[in-house]
Amino acid sequence: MSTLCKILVALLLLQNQEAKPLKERIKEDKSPILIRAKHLRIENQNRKATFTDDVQATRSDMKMTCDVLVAFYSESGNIDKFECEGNVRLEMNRRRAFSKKAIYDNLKSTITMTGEPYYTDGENQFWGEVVEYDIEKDEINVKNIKAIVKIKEDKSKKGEKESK
Amino acid sequence: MLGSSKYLVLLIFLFLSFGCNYDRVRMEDMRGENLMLLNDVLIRDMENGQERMKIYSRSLEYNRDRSLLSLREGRIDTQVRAHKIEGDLNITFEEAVYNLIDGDILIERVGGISVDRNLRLEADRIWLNVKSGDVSVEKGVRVTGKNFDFLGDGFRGNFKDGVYSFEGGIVARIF
Repeated sequence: MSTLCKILVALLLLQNQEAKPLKERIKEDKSPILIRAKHLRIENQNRKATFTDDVQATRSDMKMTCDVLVAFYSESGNIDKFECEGNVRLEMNRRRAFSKKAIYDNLKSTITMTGEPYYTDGENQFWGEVVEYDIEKDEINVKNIKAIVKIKEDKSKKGEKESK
Repeated sequence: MLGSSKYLVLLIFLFLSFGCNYDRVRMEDMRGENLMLLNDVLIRDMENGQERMKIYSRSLEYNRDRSLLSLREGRIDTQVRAHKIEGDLNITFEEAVYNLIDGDILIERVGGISVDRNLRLEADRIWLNVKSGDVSVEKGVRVTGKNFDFLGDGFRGNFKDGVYSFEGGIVARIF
């Protein structure tokens, strides 16, 4: 009985954790930004590190791939921002965003995508000039938006219509 | 610069330790000796009257013909001054071969390289040149700092220029 209780509590905790926004989860688990690439060039004078070839950056459940990723760091060594260029692809669970360029502002906790950005959330598709993702609020803003949104019809209402 | 050690432009002092007693030996005193074996050595590498590098070693073998110092179990202490980076560079090693002519040091089984205690470099085998500041590691290098951890292959760099690269793949963790 006690084992069953433990499992139920664990499941509830797990469910609660999944419900938390990304920003909170990042804060809680203090997960590092993991970057994989074939090449890296560090220039201390310009305080930048350039990752090239098969670049893949992940943090918590957010994953970004691109051709070139440049990390700019402060004198104290903290990362201020990342600039991604070429075939940028951002994945957050079922949401995807694509563009030519993206800037991850580590101070503001935002990702700004430019260069024909395209965003999908499940079956819904959005195009615009700029796609901005606020990690803190877990909000996505698309400027000058064009969208294809699939509206699911309520099955009970559909049944009513058919009977009439 | 170190190549001119033959001509005594550089003063390299060897302090030989036998118990608590130290004897000072100048390179000129080593003339005529093709091979010299010393234990518990401190080498002070001087450039223009200023100390550039200190090498401590449990044992030293000096081959005068080839201008090679073979060192075992020791530490190299020097300083890095490049752009805004200025700090102590400390290298601990199991085995090292130091070429006095061109300034190359090949370090085997490196205990670790640390720059001002902020940056640490670990690898089995590191090659570096004390004159140019070039450093390279073929395989399995780990560079750790206050808020990052880089693990990769094909590491090339220059301590003076402050430019480094990984050419054979990299996994970076940024905290």
